[in-house]
Amino acid sequence: MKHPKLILAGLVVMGIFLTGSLALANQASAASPEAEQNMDQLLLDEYEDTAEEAPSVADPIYYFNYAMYAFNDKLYFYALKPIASGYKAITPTLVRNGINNFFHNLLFPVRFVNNLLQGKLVQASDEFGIFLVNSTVGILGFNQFAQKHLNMKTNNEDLGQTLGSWAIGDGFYLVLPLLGPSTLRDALGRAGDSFVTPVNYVEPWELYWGMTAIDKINQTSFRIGDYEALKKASLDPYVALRNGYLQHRKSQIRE
Amino acid sequence: MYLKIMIPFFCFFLGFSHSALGQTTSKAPEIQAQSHLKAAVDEILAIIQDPQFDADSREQEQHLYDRAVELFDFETFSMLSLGKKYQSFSIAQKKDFVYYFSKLISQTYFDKLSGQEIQNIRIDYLENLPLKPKQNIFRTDILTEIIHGETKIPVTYRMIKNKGADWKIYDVKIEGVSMVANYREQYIQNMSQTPDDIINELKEKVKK
Repeated sequence: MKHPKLILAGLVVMGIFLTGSLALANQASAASPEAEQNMDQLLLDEYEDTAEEAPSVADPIYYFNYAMYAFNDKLYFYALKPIASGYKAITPTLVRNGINNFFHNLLFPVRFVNNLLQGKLVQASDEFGIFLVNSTVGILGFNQFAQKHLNMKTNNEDLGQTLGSWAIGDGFYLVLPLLGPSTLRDALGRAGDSFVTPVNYVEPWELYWGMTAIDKINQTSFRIGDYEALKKASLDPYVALRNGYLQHRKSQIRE
Repeated sequence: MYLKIMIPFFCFFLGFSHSALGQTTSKAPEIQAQSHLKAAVDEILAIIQDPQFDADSREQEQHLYDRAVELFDFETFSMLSLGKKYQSFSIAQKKDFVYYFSKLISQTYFDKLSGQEIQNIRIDYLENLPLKPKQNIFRTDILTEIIHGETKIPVTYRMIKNKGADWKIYDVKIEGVSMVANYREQYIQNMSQTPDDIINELKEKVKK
């Protein structure tokens, strides 16, 4: 009796369906305004009932989050975007793709461990195979040989998703400086993943920061315009970003 | 869990009602949704790529908007985005809202398509997942991927077919983010807005 609501919803829908068929039998094929209203109500109810469509999370530290959101916003427009645009202008797409692939390949341990933790054994072994092929034939991962020629697929997983798949909730919403939207769970996951992120073990620290910066700038160079589009389309960008992040994570966890 | 158990019942009732009415079960109409969507999207891409238009030309914008009105069910889109608030709108206010909202949605959608190097764009149609039909109304999710270079953006279109009408889009999910659910949350947050506030806000947004 875990989901009495579902049964109820099922019965209601069934009832509506039956009345619907009866209406059909009565030759009321032309939709009356009343039927239309019913339909509207049905669609509305559906969106309200399905939690998957409208994930909501507590935002108890709203003022901190909003400050971080405003900070990241300024950082993007005054630093990250101009730098990434300049970088994009002088760097061929081929090179940018290569760098992207290189950093993606480096994150293999994160994907491998989290596929294992979620019991996705086939995907974990695929990740292992992709890593081996791309690190060798693909020359340190610059070329995604396995994906391109062996038709293998990566399965992006991280600890936040793993925790989510174990039915651990988001906790609350959290905006991190530089890193952007997150939740308590996902931030903890990020901290856990950092132990198996090779870049974090790079010495000296100048090289570590250099690599991290290049990765971030390179990634941004592929996404220039996305954030602007989101702001342009939304009425309240802070809420739109929060909701967008949660929906995106939810769909990743579901996969 | 229980929902899964219920599905065979639905199928049973579906079959029952059809045979009771002496109707022959026709092919599921969801199959047409994908070809309809593809034709419409191809047409939109052709307009975006048409060299006769300068960048940001008014004429091109109008052409695109006309196509969007054919392809999207903006009334349902608006209604679901506003949620319960929709009921407090008068008929004239509903009309205004739908108009400005349709402008905003189509702009966002076309920007998504045209923002990238359009020459190399490819759209893959992956899957067609019908939802349970309700009354005489069919709905389906069409999973696609916009591919340019090595970047892939998953886009899911939720479509509806109402009586004799064509298939129309009433929600777009980009990378797992439903536009309807996103707008809905934004409107829920702002409880104190009157319908006129909402319409004026949209009007300003679209003007920019």
